[in-house]
Amino acid sequence: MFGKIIDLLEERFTFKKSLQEDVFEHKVPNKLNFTFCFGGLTFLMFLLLVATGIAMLFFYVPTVDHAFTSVEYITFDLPMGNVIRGVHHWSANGIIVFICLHMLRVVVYGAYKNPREFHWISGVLLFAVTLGFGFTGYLLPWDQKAYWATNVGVLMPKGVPFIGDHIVSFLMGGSNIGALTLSRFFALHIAVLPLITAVFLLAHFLMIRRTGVARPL
Amino acid sequence: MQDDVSAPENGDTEKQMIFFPNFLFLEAIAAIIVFAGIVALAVFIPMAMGDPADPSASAFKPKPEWYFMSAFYLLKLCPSSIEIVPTIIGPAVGGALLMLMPFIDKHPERSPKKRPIAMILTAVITVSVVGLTVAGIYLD
Repeated sequence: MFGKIIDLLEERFTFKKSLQEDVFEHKVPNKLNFTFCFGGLTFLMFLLLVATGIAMLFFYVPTVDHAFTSVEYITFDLPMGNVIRGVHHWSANGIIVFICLHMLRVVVYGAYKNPREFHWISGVLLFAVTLGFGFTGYLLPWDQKAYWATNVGVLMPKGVPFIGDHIVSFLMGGSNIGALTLSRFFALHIAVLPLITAVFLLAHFLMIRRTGVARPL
Repeated sequence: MQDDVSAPENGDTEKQMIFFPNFLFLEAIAAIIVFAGIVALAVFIPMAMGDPADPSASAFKPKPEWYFMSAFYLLKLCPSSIEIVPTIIGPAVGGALLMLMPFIDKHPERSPKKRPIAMILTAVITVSVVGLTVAGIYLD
């Protein structure tokens, strides 16, 4: 019965076949060394961030009155809460390290050259989005260092010609950092940036499957 | 299939291997080590809490995450009259250059030894960013 359902689904979706041919049996150059793991490790960090981020979403409250206390609850009272928050914190640091290592490897191996220019561009955009995650996530615990660091960071776009002030007031949700800033950073952090990431990540992965990995030198 | 695109570069398909188990094995070992490291950090260095945000405590000295430290420190070093250099021009030019790398460094030669300009530029940028980060963390 169950096997039959699987067979019917397989007939329609060809999951097993795709997994077999496109994942397990796809050809990669031989002599790949450990530096070729950095991209995959970046993705591992991303998965850990998603999992721990979703777990914390069940407890975090994005309001000026409760943000700090809800993070305090996650940190000190929730069983495993400290580990969940800790894994989120360390993965957030790790993802930056692995992206930098991945990019350095790609530059040194000249792997961004034709036909992989757009792999590189999608990657640079993903790096920018990751920095956006770091910037917006930093404010969420609503503690002193978050508040005052954001005070400096959020004014950075002010100098952009013509629209600088608009960017700043869009991010802040007003003329100073407050309830709306927290709401907006939260919305960016858990909805907008993840969606952008999903799009570029999919493009990044589809393209590298299409062209294959640049062979080692 | 699409797999041959990486082969024609020097035309011999023999120098390929199948992803599973060959490369997946290496990738899996790396993933397990890194995962264990992350969990160990989370367990042995418990997260703490600072003080709740206080908009009136303007004497508080802000400190960004280390990956923003290079930009933060550069902003601090520059006189405010040229503030636009670290905040806008730097990131814009840097980001654009980074994105256009494949079109600037576009000769098909991939060996780093034969691309001295690209390598020197990469080294200079890497050293400056790392230098600013370290300086920001320890001197600030």
